[in-house]
Order: sequence, then C-alpha cells, then structure tokens
Amino acid sequence: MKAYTQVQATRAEKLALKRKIALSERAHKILKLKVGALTIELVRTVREAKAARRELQKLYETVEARTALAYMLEGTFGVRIAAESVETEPNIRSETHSVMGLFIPKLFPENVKKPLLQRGYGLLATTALIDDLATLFEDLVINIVTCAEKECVTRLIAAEIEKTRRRVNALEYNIIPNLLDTLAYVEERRDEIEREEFSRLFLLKKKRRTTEEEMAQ
Amino acid sequence: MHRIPVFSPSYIYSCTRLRIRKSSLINYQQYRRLLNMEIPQIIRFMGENGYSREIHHLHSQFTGINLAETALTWHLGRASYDCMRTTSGLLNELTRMYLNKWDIINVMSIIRGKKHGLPYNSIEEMLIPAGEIGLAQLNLLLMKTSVEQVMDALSHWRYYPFLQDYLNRDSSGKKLSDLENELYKKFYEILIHDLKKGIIGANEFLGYLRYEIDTTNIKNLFRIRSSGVNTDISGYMISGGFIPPEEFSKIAGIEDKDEFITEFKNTRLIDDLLPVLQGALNNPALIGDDAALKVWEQWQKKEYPVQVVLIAAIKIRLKKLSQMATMSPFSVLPIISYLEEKKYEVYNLRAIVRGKEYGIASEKIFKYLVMPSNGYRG
Repeated sequence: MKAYTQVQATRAEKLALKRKIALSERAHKILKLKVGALTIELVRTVREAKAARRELQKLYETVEARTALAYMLEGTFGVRIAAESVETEPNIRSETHSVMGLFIPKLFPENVKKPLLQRGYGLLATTALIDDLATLFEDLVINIVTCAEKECVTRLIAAEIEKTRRRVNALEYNIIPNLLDTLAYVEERRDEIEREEFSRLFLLKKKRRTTEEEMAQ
Repeated sequence: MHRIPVFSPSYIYSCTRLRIRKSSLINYQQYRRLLNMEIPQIIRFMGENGYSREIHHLHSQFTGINLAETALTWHLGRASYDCMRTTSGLLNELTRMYLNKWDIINVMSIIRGKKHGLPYNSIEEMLIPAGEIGLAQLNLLLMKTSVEQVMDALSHWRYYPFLQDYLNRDSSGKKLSDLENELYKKFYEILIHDLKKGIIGANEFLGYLRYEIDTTNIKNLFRIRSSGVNTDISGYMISGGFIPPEEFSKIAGIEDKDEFITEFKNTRLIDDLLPVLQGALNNPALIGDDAALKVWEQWQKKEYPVQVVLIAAIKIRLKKLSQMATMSPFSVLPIISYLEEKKYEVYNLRAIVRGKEYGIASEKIFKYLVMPSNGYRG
C-alpha cells in the first residue's frame, strides 16, 4: 500500500505536503553539499594518513634495526634497565573539533619526547646507543599517535559520508518522489472532489429546476 | 745490579692462575669460526669451551637465544666469583672493589624495579650477579617489598651512606638517575683512594683508571652535546681522570672552530683520541691536527661518534691494560685485565648470538666485536 493513499485530500494537507517537499529538497541539496565537502576532506585525510603510515613504516624499520643493534651490544638487561628507568609516564591528551558537523578527534602526545637528562636513566651507566634507541622510540610513539589520529579521522569521515549518502539517496529516490506522488494524488483527488461537487450541484440544480417546472404546470 | 723484587706467594698464585685463564679466552680465529655458525652450533661451542656448567644447568629451562644469553650472564658472575675466591688480602679487596660496578647496576635495577612495582621475575632477569653482592644476597633484596626496605638491607654495603642520603632528600630531589650517577662517581673516587694503599701495580692501574675516566667523560661530553641540551655538564663528569672536569666544562661551551681546536689540543684529549681515530679510520698516518679537525666536525654537527670509533677506543684501552699487565705480571693488573677481557668475551658472544638472531650479516657483526685482532692480549 502506498503511503499517499493514507492521506486526506484536504487543502491543509496539500499545503503541508508542499512545505515538506520544499524542506526535503533543501535538505537534499545541503546534504549533497556535505557529502561533497566530506569527500574533499576524506581525500586530504587519506593522503595525510597514507604519508603518516609510510613514515611510520620507515621509522619502524629503523627502530627495528637499532633495537637489534642495542640488544647485540647492550644485551637484554642493558636495554631493559634503561626501559624500566623511565619515571614520567607518557600521556595522550585528546580534543575534538567539528568538520561539517562531524566531531573529529585531535590527539596530543604529552611527556613522550624528553631531554636526555630527564629520561630517568643514569648518564654514567648507559651508552649513546641507548640514547639513540630512546630518541627513536619517542619518535615512534609520536608517529603512532599521529598515524592513529589520521586513520581514526579517515574512518570517521568515511562512515559519515556513507551515512550522509544514504540520507541523500533516501531523500532523492524515496522521500521526495513519495511526497511528490502524494501531492499529485492529493491534487488529483481534490480535482476529482471538485468535479464531483460540480456535477452534484449541476444535477441538484437540474433536479430542482425540473421539480419547479412540474410544480408550475 | 738489579734487585729482584720479592712477590707474595698469594700474588704469584692468583696472577698465574688468572693469566692461564686469560690465555684460554676465545681467540681471533675462534671468533671468525663462530661468525659462520648458527645459534645451536654457537651454543654447542660455548658448552665445549668454558661455558659447559652454565649451559648444562640452564638447558632444561631455556632454549636458543635465551639459553645463550642467560648462560653468558651466569658465566660472567662465575668468572668474577672465581676471581674473588682466587685472590686474597689487599688484592682481593681491590678486586671486590673493582667488581662493585656490577653491584651498582644490580642494586639500581632492584631499586627501580621496586619503585615501579615490577614482579620478582622481571627484576631477576635484569640482574648480573658478577659483583661483590652474590646471587643469594640479591635474591634476599628481591624479596623486599619497598625501596626503603631494599636500602635498609644494604646497610653493610660500601655505598650505603649515599643511599641513605638519597632517602633523606625531599621528593623534588629524589631522582634515581642522579643517585646512579653519584654512585658511579663515588665508585671511581673510592677505587682511586684505595689504590694508594700500597698494592703492587697500583700506579699503572691508576693510570689505566684515569684513562678510562677520561674516555667516559669524552663520550658523555659528546652525548650531552648531541642531545642538544644546554646545561652545566660538571655534574655529569667523573673526577679523577687526567683531565679535570673543569676542562670538559670549558670545552662544552665552545662554538668557535679555532678556539675549540686550540683548547682541545691543550688538553690530553688529543693524545687519547689520536690512536682511537687512527684505528677507527684505518689510517696510521693521521696526525694530531687532522684528528682535532675531525673531532671539531662532529662537534659542530652535534653528532655522536659512530660505534666503530667507540669500539676502537675500547680496543686501545684493553691493549693498554694488557701491556701493563705483561709489564707487571704479579700485581693487580693481570686480574683486572682478565676481568675486562672476560667481560668483552661475554659481550662478543652475546653480540654474535643476538646478531644471528636478528639476521645481521656476519661482516657487520664482526665490526662490533671487541676482539684481539691486533694481538693485544699480553
């Protein structure tokens, strides 16, 4: 059963339908613009996420090679002693900002990059290899956070585009055509009612005239 | 007419035993062969060459790389313990004091572990029982539940007053890295002080120790510089070397090329660095001016010397020590020389095994080994 058959063919309904159609068309236009803007944002973010991932991959390979060297020359205990010496825990602060009504996160790594003398291990008990490894790991953590932020934003934008596109399609292929059909039905029905009313009045008038003529005879 | 010096029988006994042990350390050809072996073959080699007790003891608990590394750590502990057992009197006291370096590492690991609430096993894995504090005592320390308890249990230790001083500080000044640096500085201070007690070979050993302090200070000077930290470096320099810490502090602030080269050449630094650079760059014709220029280039770029230069420095240090041990066969020097070479044998084996595990090419591993390629073993 089609939706429009449930409506009443009244003037008020017709006006309401016209308002709904205008609103839906405006929403459709805005949502289409939103999809466009989000797609541009998505392309930019994907490019950034790809670059961040590439950089992360490169850095990870360097860290792996340097870790191997550190394990080779400092041994497990040397690397672990330095790792366990860290006294200030790294932290990630997050904020959100809006892009086309979508709240996307921004991550800020805190206490990750530390100067040599504040890393927690003693300078006289360690070597420069540990410094190198610590610097690389700090960079790696920052890169991981950046990469995670970019990928998260990409996913959020992609999900939002999918949701908005579904809305645009629903408006374009379902809601607006249905409303237009309903309006057409209402107009048709109202025309029919008008015609019926006209013919009823015509017949009534004709009948009254006939009755009046008969009474006059 | 020369007088034949009279040596104590205990000196002759200890030094002869350790010289024999030193001659049985892994040699250049054996290292070359090890570089062509796989990890199981290396473990088998270790089992057949002095490490058998550790390999047989641990093979049921560990396998592969973990077996090799744990066996190496245990072996280093046994070698140090044997050294302490072999020596007597003042020689023994000095050996124990020299091995206190390991104690500082172990105590700091336990304190850090307790501070961060690490489990028993995790802290145990970080220990190298090669110092005066034996495995049983380290296990007792591991049983303690807080930093304060660990420090209280060390009340008999030579460095306890410094631990106590740390405990008495207010929380803003309680940095474990500062305590660690302080302990290291005290280690050299106490060792230099006790060397003046009249032990045979003390003067030569003092010379070696001063050279070691100087090279450590140079390394740390470059480390601080390459990290880009602008700070007063005097707190991170060890005193007792040939070059006083003030000289390093003076160099630390120089940015002008000519001033740097002049200042650098005025200190003994150039004498220490020249043979190192000659070895690392494989250029025996390198002269002092070239060396100073090369050092300036690195200083200007805020770069840390590459690992090959550091290894060349260790080789020269060991060569010097070995030569001194040959010159004074019945002194503290053969003992220290053996302990140092044993330490680097363990480091080399670990580097080979770890390098193999990570798939590093043999030639690359070879570059990082501190091996007696030039026959420095005396």
